[in-house]
Order: sequence, then C-alpha cells, then structure tokens
Amino acid sequence: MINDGLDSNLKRKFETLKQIPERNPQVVASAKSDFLRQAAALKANQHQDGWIKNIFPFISINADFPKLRPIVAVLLVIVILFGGSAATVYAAQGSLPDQPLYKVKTWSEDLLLAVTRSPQNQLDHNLNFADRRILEIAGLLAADTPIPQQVHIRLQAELDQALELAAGMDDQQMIMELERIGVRAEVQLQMMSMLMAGDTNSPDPVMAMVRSSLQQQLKLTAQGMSDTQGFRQQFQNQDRNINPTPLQIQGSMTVDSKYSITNTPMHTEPNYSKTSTPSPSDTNYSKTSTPTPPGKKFYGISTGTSNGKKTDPTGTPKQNGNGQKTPTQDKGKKP
Amino acid sequence: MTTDKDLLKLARQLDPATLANIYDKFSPGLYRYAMRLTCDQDLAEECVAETFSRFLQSLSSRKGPQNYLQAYLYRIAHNWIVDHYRRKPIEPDQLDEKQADNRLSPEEHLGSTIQNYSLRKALFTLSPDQQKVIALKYLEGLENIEVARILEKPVGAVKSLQHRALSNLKKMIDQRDLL
Repeated sequence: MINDGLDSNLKRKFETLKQIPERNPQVVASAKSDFLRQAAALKANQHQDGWIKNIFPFISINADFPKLRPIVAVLLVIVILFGGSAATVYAAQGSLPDQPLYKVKTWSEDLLLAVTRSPQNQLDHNLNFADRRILEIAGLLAADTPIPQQVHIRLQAELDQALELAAGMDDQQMIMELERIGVRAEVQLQMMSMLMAGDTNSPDPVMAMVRSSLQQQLKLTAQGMSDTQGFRQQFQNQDRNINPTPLQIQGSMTVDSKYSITNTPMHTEPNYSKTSTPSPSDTNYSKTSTPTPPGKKFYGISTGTSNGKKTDPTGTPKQNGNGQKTPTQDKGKKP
Repeated sequence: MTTDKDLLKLARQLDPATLANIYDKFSPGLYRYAMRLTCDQDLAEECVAETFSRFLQSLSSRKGPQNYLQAYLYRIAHNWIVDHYRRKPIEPDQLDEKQADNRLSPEEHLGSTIQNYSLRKALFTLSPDQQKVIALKYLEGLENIEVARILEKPVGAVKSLQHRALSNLKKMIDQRDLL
C-alpha cells in the first residue's frame, strides 16, 4: 500500500508536487547521445588507463601494506630498467592518433600481424584492430580533435585483409568468417552512425569515408556468403594481378574486365586526391582504391570504366588535387 | 526477461546498445524524480545527465552496482539533488511559462508554485534518509522493498523512517503554517 500512514492533507500536497510538465524529446535525444558518446570515449580510454593497473596492480595494495613499499620501489626500478620498452609498447596500445605513442601502437600491430602465421589468428587481429580504429575515432571526437586520414587508411587495409583471409579458407569456414566479419562491420557501422549523430559540429569527412568503407564491407560479406566461388575467385585474381574474367554475382551483377586489379606498392604515401570510394549502393566487387599504410599490403580492386563511362564512385566526397570537391562529385553524392 | 545483473554485466563492458537500453529504461523515472524535487526542468535534466555520467565513471573504474541498478541510480540522483541544495539553498520557484501547466489558470499556477515551494522546503529540512523515503514512496510511488534497496536498509527500518518523516513533516507544516 503506497499511501499508508499518510493523512489526506499531506496526500493532497504531494499530489500537487507529482504533476510535472512533459520532458522535451529533443533534450532527451541530445542527453542520450551525450551519454553514449561519453561511454564511447571512456571505452577508448580504458585501454590507456588500464595498463598502469595491469602492470602495477600492487600500487593500490601499497597504501594498505606500507611494509611492502621498499619491495615495490625495487620492483619499480627493475621494471623501469628492464621492462621499459615492453611497457612502452603496452602503454601505447590505448594511445590515440594525435599522441606520440600512436606510432608505437601501429608498429606493434604491424609486427603482430607479421609474426602471426595462422590465417585465422591474422583475421582475428585484423578485426580487433578495426575495432580499435573505431574506438580511436570515438576518442578523438570526444577530445574534439580532427580525425586524421591515417585512421581510415589503416581501417580500410584491415577490412580488406580480413576479407582476403576469409577468401583463402574453405567454403564452410569462409561463410562462417564472412558472417563474423559482417556482424562486426554492422556493429562498427552502428557505432559510427551514433557518433555522427552525436557530433554537433559539421561532419568530419574521414568519418563519412569510414562509414562508407564499413557499408561496403557489409555488402561484400553478404555477396561473399551468397557466392563463395565468385568471391574467392575475385581475391585469387587479385593475387595474380590479372584482369578477372566476367563473373556473375547473385545472378544480376557482373564484374568484368573493366575492373582492373591494382596492387598499390607498399609504403605508398596516402594521397586522398586520388581516392575513389565506391558508393554503398555499388553492387560490384570493386573495392576502394585506398592508399596503403606503410607495412600493409593493399588488396583492393580499383574501379575502372564501364562501357566507356567512368563508374560512379560516390558515397564519400572525392577531392581534387587541392583537396577540394570537384563540381561533378556532388551530383553523384548519395544522401 | 533481462535482469539488472545481465544488464550490468554488459554495461561494465561499456556496450553501447546496453547503455542505450539502460538510459531508455531509467532516465524517465529519474527525470520525474528530479523534477518533483527541484521543480526545474533544466535542473532535472542536469541531474539525470550527471547521474548517468557518474554511473559511467563508476563502471569504467570497475566499481558501481552489482545488482539493483534502479536503486543505485536513484541514490546518485538524490545525492546530487541534496548536494545541489546544500550549495545553493532552495529558492521560491520562478513563475516559468514553459513549465506552467496549461490546464491551470494563472492564479492556480501561482498557488501550486507556492505550495510546491513550501512543501519542498519542508521536505529538505528532513534528514537525508527521511527525504528519500518520502520522495520515493509518496512521490514516485515505489514499494517499501524498492525504497529499502535504494536506502540499503531493511524494510522495517524504512517503515520506521517513514513514520518519523511523516510525523516531522506534518509538525513542520502545522507549526510554520507553510501550506
């Protein structure tokens, strides 16, 4: 019984206090968005903060056990002397692209991929690194820092490599992995949409490119699951660096020799003026011709011409040599 | 049905979908609670935002509730309101057009505003636990067991607090002739 013990006078007074105006839905949406952005930023920083506790878990014990202090001091000296480099690499894992340790982080990622033999583990690493890129974007947005193109470049390479590794597996495993890649891309895409919705500033062009890459990834995984043979052949053709033979995809789409295969040389400097990201609605197997980050192999297929006409690589704004949009690009820009 | 424990397990991983779910589930109640105690929409929104922000901080520092999420959030919200009024004593409500109830005439709105102010002023003179019991039970309509979870006290203690709180409140209203 809610009102037990309450006399009628007090009950009446409470009733007046109960009446409240309706909550403004716009304020609610904005507050919710802020809350989720804060959560994303905290998640991005968790790696960064976590390393201290992981390396020095005894620091909190120190206050409770003062006798341990000399031992802790000696251990700290040893750790600093001998474990400095390892700790630096570990500490770098939570760094953001605008921080000095970020280079160490990307270097350690490249190294990990280079020493990993199992394709399954390589695929796992690529997916995890792609997650990291999204978290980095969230962290940068929270800090109101522009997102460097390097983040998109690395993400694209990781997405490409994950698909290529899946294509090298047998049918059953490939479908399983493609499904996993697709689910991951879907979650990442949701996260990007959330971040973009919560960003009150003008949308960052790199975010748009990242979203487009993720949409493309989703499409490719879906296509791969419906036509494993065609999907695999596409990647085999890439490795041989030849033009693919006409390929029927889902009975209606054709990838023909107009899609020339490009293996961008390694250590290519990023040049966004030549970037042509396919539109999310592009149903071909064509991939983004994205500059390759140092140490990463590029697996994308460059878009060529179709029936003498240029294919429409919309979805993200193209730029001319000056980094400005060309007049024709806005026409093809999708909402 | 997802329990608070399940929600919290995912929330500790800062899973966006779970956090969005938690926000949708609990923010309306927290807003109502804050609104009733502050009679100020901006302040109530600030209270909700701060409550969820503190909740996130506690999750990221591996603290926070193990279960009874609602109780935890109400505790944060109430503490925030009490802290707020400790820093800035309660003032007579402004007659704010945007907060006015359209069903009331200006005179009725004025009367209601004065009555709300007086009642809230009396409420905040009670001890913090007594305030919580009154606000949660009579304004939010929570059961004794739920109030007991928020206060982290046995139901018997809640009943006793409720009895003393009502008695004090009535005494204050009668003595000061506030209402």
